[in-house]
Amino acid sequence: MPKKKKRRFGRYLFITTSVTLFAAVLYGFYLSWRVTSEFSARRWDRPAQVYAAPIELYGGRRLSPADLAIELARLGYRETTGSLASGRFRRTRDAVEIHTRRFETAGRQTHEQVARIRFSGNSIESLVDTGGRAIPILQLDPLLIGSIFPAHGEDRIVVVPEDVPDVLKSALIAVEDRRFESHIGIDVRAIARAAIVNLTAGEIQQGASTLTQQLVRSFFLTNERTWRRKINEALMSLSLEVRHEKDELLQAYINEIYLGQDGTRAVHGFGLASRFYFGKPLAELDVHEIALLVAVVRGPSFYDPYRNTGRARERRNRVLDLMAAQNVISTDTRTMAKGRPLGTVDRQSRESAYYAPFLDLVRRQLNRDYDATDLEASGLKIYTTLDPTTQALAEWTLATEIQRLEANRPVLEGAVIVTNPHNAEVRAMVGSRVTGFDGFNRALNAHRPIGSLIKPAVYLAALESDRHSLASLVEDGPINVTLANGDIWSPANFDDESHGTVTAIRALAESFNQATVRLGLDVGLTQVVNLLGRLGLDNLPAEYPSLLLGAFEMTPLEVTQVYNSLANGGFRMPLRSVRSVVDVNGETIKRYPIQIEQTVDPGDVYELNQALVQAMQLGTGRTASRRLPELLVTAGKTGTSDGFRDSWFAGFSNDHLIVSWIGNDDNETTGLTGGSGASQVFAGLMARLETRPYSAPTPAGYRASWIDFDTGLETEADCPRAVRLSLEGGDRPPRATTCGSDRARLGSRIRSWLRGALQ
Amino acid sequence: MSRVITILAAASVLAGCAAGSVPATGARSTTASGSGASADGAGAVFPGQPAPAARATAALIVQSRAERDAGNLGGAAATIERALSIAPEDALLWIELAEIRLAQGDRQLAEEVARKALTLTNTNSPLAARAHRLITR
Repeated sequence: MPKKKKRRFGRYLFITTSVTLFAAVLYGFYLSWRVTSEFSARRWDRPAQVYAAPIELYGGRRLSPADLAIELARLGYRETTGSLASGRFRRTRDAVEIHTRRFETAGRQTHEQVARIRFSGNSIESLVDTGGRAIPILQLDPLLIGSIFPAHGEDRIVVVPEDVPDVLKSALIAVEDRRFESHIGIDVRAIARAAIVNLTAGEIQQGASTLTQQLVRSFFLTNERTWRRKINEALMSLSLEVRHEKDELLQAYINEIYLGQDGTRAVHGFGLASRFYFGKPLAELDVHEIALLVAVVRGPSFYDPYRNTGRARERRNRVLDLMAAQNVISTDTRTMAKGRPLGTVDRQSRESAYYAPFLDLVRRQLNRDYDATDLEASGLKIYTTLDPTTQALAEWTLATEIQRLEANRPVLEGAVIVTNPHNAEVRAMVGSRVTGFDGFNRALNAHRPIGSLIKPAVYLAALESDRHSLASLVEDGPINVTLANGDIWSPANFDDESHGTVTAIRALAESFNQATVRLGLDVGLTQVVNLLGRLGLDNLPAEYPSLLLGAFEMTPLEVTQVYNSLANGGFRMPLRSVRSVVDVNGETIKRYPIQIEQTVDPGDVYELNQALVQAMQLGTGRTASRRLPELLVTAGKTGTSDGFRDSWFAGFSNDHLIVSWIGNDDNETTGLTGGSGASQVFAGLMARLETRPYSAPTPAGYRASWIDFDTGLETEADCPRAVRLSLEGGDRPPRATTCGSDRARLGSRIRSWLRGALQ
Repeated sequence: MSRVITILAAASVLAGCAAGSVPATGARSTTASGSGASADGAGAVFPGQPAPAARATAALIVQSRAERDAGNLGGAAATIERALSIAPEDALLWIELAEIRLAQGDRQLAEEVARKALTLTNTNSPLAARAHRLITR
């Protein structure tokens, strides 16, 4: 090779090498810059955390020690016979001692404390603190029921260093990265050892990624397995180590790492994983629970404690061995921990899917005031109205009743909503018979004809007109209504019979169609529709006569809104699922207080509700009533749509309004009436709730007397069909001379005798 | 002002103790047994404020008053709403809430809340008079 050429080649080589080196250095700087800027400025997207209503304990509350223990277990409190610590409780003969957790609600810090709760029978008698001082009312930390995470599914709870148990940190180091404290981001010795082990075993048994590398991978990189990625990972790990303390890196790892999957939701960070798998805060985990989380790090799917229980347990025990070998725990502790079950919460009761329908409602309420980024990333805390006990009972009741009803019917679906009528807070919402499944939410989205659920509005409009009272007489006989298009509409009764002259209260309680249509036409369709609006319905039906029998669609939520106004005595309150929103600094940034407007005369609603009480005792709700304790007075109404496609019930006690719907998604017939279907869900649930009988104070100007259910005449208490009714002063009917029904029977006997005699 | 409320609160506690047999006000109080409600339900008359949760509601009223005095009207209202969730028929609580709304300048809401209180009191009670004052303002 000529000298000249050789020299030229040398120059090429030099230039190429220089350029390559320069590029490599630039690339290194670029990576370093990227790592530093992104990592230092790291702000995890913090999905809003959603909490249930807190449990309130106070003297006089009806709650047995056993039920309190259930509530505490739901919150992840552990029963102990030994010493108390935050998140534990202890039972004695007539008391429960709780060491509460520190928590923050609505910007107010509540300190942990030990409270002694004394019972008398099944009620709380008193609460005292350790100094023997009375505690008038004690609020427990609210249950975390889910979070509002972004579409890509990354959900996490960011924890601060104080909340991380030391054992967890030591265990991570012992198991994942023994030389974490000393290496420079990559562990050359581990790489060599892993290579040998894997080569001799012929399969990959050991990885050599340091915690820093795992962090880098999760934080910056995709999961592809290429050399380029490996090199980037190593370079980035090195630069992270240069610029950040080990503690900081470990803390970041604990908040960053992926630990499980729940449908579309990816569980990130130990804070959320602790809630997800064990239903309690990270700080309260025991050694065997920490070991399971550390086991899961290696393969959240492979070691899924729910799907691959055996494998997860094996790996957990292996982790415990490694922890003992590294002196993180003693051998005694290891032996004990190995004997413990996995301790994961029941899959069914896991938060996210479980509360999905209610979270839909929460999102709907919040969407008016917040955009998606606020909710998904800015670390808000959302305090809701959900009552976990009511929710659990509602889910169980719907599933059980549907299963029972389905015995000889096509597949049924259903929905239930429970509110506190006095403050319009939604206590529970079930959108399907299948819980733990984030599917079609019928409670919010099923638009179905409501049938006779409309009738209370017709009678209330009649009472408002001042031309009718509950004791007024209405003709329940064949009726022909000429429609706008010239057709004739001739509604029939459910039993295809007409019942003659009946009282308004009976016509409503027994749900007579012909009497209702006659009354509704007398009052006017416009008045009925206008009233529906005042009761809280936004999408008003068109003014066709058939609306008087409920031939228009509403969702269970809309029905709940309307009936809440009845249960609340004529006061319209927008239903609420959120009480307040607190920002990441603990400031209350939004409250959703009680909004209230008296839109119907309370006297008229009071009068109407007496008919709904009779519907439960003498009318279409009576089979449901038989399942309730005798003294538990309720008011309610059945609804059945054409062809038995929809079975509805709406009813209330003093403390609970329950709306239930049963039907098919494909709109097939169910063969159920409101009375045989949905009312059973109502009764089954109401009977299990701690609730008080429906009762309302008598408005001024109303006087109670005994009225004959059939004739509307004032009668005596011991007459067979006498009902106690409070009517407005001027509406008091004339007195009957004998028991009304006897008289009626006597009258008709005389009439038929006369007819016979005259023929 | 705060002395007045302490007295009111104490009276409320006493009323609660005196009315031991009236239906409980606990959020999940009894399943009908031992309740004073008559079987026809709708006809039962509510005497102003019944029973056992009285100690809790009284404490919350005192707390709410302190928050009002400190200028935290939103917090004061939230505290009363907390009390209402355990004792919704307590007319005094609704009146407290109405007064807070009025102090916040929401005259309309104050009036509606007072109307609710009115449906829970006897016509001639001092509480009814307080409610009427809020309505006719």
